[in-house]
Amino acid sequence: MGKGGKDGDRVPAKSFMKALFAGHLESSMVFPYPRQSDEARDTLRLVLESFRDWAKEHLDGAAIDHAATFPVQVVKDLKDLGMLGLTVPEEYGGAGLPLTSYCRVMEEVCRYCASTCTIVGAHLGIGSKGILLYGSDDQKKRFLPLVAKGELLAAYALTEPTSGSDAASLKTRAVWDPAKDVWVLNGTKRYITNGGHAGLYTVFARTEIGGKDTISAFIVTRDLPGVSTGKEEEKLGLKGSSTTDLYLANVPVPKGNLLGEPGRGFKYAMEILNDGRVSLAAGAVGGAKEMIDRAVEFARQRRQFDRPIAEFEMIRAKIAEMVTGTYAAESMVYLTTGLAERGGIDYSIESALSKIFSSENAWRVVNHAVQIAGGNGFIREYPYERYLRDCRINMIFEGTNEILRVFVALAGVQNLGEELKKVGQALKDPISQIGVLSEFAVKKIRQAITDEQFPDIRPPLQKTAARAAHYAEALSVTAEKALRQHGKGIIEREYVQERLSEAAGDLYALIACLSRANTRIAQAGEASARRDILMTRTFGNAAWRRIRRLLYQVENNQDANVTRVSDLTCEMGGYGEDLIG
Amino acid sequence: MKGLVLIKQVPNTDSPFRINSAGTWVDESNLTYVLNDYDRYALEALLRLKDAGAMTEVVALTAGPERASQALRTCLATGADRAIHIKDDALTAAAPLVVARAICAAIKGEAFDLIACGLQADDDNHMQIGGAVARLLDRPCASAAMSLELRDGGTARVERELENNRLQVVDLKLPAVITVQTGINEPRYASLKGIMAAKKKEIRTVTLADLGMGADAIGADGYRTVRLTPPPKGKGAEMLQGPADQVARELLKRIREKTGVI
Ligand SMILES: Cc1cc2nc3c(=O)[nH]c(=O)nc-3n(C[C@H](O)[C@H](O)[C@H](O)COP(=O)(O)OP(=O)(O)OC[C@H]3O[C@@H](n4cnc5c(N)ncnc54)[C@H](O)[C@@H]3O)c2cc1C
Repeated sequence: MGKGGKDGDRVPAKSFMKALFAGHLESSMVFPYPRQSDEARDTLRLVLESFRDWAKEHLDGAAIDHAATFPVQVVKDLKDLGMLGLTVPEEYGGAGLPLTSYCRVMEEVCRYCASTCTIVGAHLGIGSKGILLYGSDDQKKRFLPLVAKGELLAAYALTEPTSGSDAASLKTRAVWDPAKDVWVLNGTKRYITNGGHAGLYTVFARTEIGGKDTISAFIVTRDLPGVSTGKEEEKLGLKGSSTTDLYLANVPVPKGNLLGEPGRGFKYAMEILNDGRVSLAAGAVGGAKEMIDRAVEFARQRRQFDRPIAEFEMIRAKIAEMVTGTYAAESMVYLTTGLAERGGIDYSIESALSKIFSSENAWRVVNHAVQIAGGNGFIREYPYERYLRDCRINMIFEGTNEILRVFVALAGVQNLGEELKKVGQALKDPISQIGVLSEFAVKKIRQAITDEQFPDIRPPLQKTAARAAHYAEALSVTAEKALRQHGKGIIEREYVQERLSEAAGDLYALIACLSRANTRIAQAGEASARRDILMTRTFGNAAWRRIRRLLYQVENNQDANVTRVSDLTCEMGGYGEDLIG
Repeated sequence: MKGLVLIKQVPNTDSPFRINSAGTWVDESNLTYVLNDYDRYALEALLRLKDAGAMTEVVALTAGPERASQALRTCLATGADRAIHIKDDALTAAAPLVVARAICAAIKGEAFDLIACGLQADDDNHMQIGGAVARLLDRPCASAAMSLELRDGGTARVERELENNRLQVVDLKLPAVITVQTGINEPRYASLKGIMAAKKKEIRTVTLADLGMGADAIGADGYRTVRLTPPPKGKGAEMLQGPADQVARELLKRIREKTGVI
């Protein structure tokens, strides 16, 4: 859903990836590659410049990691710089930066310190985002100026001890007390970023609205009686960020602190994460870039066998993979923020794919950097191991990559189901009745998608673009087949979901690269786009082969064996038999 | 009281430096640019006077190509009130005296009580602009200022940094010119608020032609760049390889072994 989707706007927003699953290549949504206005670029440049000048002197990621405590002085500095109000609209005392600029800044922050990036991200990206998107004028006036100044650090509180990926099963409850005109909240939230230092929490709780059990969102300030937080968790990484339980014991939340409409809380929780995920992805891109810079510096200087190690092919292969992957991740992130900024576009799949791809790319990149650095890679004095520890969480929070893969695949095929429904007779339950769709209808859809190509592709990219268009069709055809085969049961078929979403991710990445490189050629000529062409082709060659394999494996696989092995192991309670002893 | 800070946009020292095909300057195609570091201190020195109420306006001026306006924006975002841009591509290669003449022409009619610039520009290291401007305007000039204090009777007291850890204290009768050394203060960072406010601030643009300086002004002062080359490779030097911290440790070890100083 696009931003600010109010209740009642039932017209589904356009989605590039959903259309693609349904066999439509909506090229005009992703070509040309988005570009910020000159004014926005100029502002961003100044913000980055100022941030770097400050960070070079005052943001020591290694020291923060070693101290393993919340960096109070850093946060105070960020407050003075105005960084804690980056995305808050100017009318509420912030800088009103658009999503693209915000993501670019987060990239930079993460180059220096992932803990700091997480603090800012939890504050702006998710903690206060709900007020921005769904808050009433009164709520905005009351809270946003304090958020922008950093006087209220914000946090987002969804997860609970028994409710993680299955967020809708949360147990925290809000009960309306008509006598006191307050909502009374009770419950425990777990692993809340900024928990120990926040003054404002966006809390999701069960509510009974009109006799129905629903979820609503609340603004809970720390000063309310009954609000407390638990001990600081000791973590693998992000050691400078605060992660705590949030306890709500009979907290009387004023009725004016109910966020948006009652009963819409779960939808809000998910929509807030759309932007959160793409900025998280941007942070991961920043971390990856930093590791590339460090690894390349090391590889060029370190000599073994009388040569810089950068000259050995096994090192070259790593460097190339690090750079092409990061190029693709970066291309996806800013294509997605461009889509988001256009408004009226559903970019939920794109932002989930950006998060999955960028977080896994960062992990690969840092792992390669550790390897290139040899023994140094393992030693605390050097930055590599810290980045390794810090970037691991990206695959877990703001929706685990597994859950996001489920989401991507199901949102994709659901849309495909709707598409099929349109063509065939008016079916009531598209997923369960797809089997009855006439061959004719299916053919018609196929016709609509065959031969759809990207327009105006420049010669050096034509082959790659043709591959992308071909595999876009193949994804849709495979998804459609899977849907017809499994019907509603597709919901349980995670092996299929994983392959479809994996292929969709590579495809979106490839299309993002193509758009970026093609736009560069069109605007600056082939000579200045040399690097882009090389990256796009190199990434493309690897990507389409992966996609081909994944789609092939939807029907040709050994999933049955995999299930048996896993079940057997679970039955045995672990590895089992001891071979030697 | 009005202050003017003379600033320059210079290549970021992290940029890849290659000499251009003509062999006269660096190849600018892969460079990124920043505000000259020394100039940040000069700007800060004036902004502090303004914060203290001693100065009513701080103006930033640069002479350079189109892109140099970015450095002016940085100054405006940091707190300067308005800016003047003498815009001409030829200025990149111009001799210091020509630049100084252009500056004096551009500020004609404005009365600046204190003109400050950085001690030197990180790219060409001329260290001449401040002195040349002072000479052309016939004003006193103190270079390498390490402190600045306005005093009664229209003077500024400046501590100048000399070699061997000495400071020379001088009084300048205003209006005057100073060139600023980096230790003088701790420059502030542009805040988001400043960045947003800068959008509404004025940058006045003038060309060399507007100033009555034709193309022949460049190079008409007997100064011409012949060649730019890397220094000849020294003999007997050993390069320590590896990441900075590793190199530092190795270096420390050798100094210990060879000199016993530490
Ligand atoms: C440092 C840190 C900061 C955090 N910050 C916040 C915060 O600010 N606010 C907040 O609300 N939460 C926060 N979290 C919580 C985080 O979002 C959750 O940990 C995450 O969503 C996973 O939930 P869980 O830990 O309960 O794991 P579970 O949901 O129990 O998952 C365990 C494993 O099972 C997999 N799994 C679960 N369901 C499925 C499925 N259907 N198909 C396939 N695999 C599945 C998961 O992918 C995972 O691998 C934070 C966590 C950490 C560690």
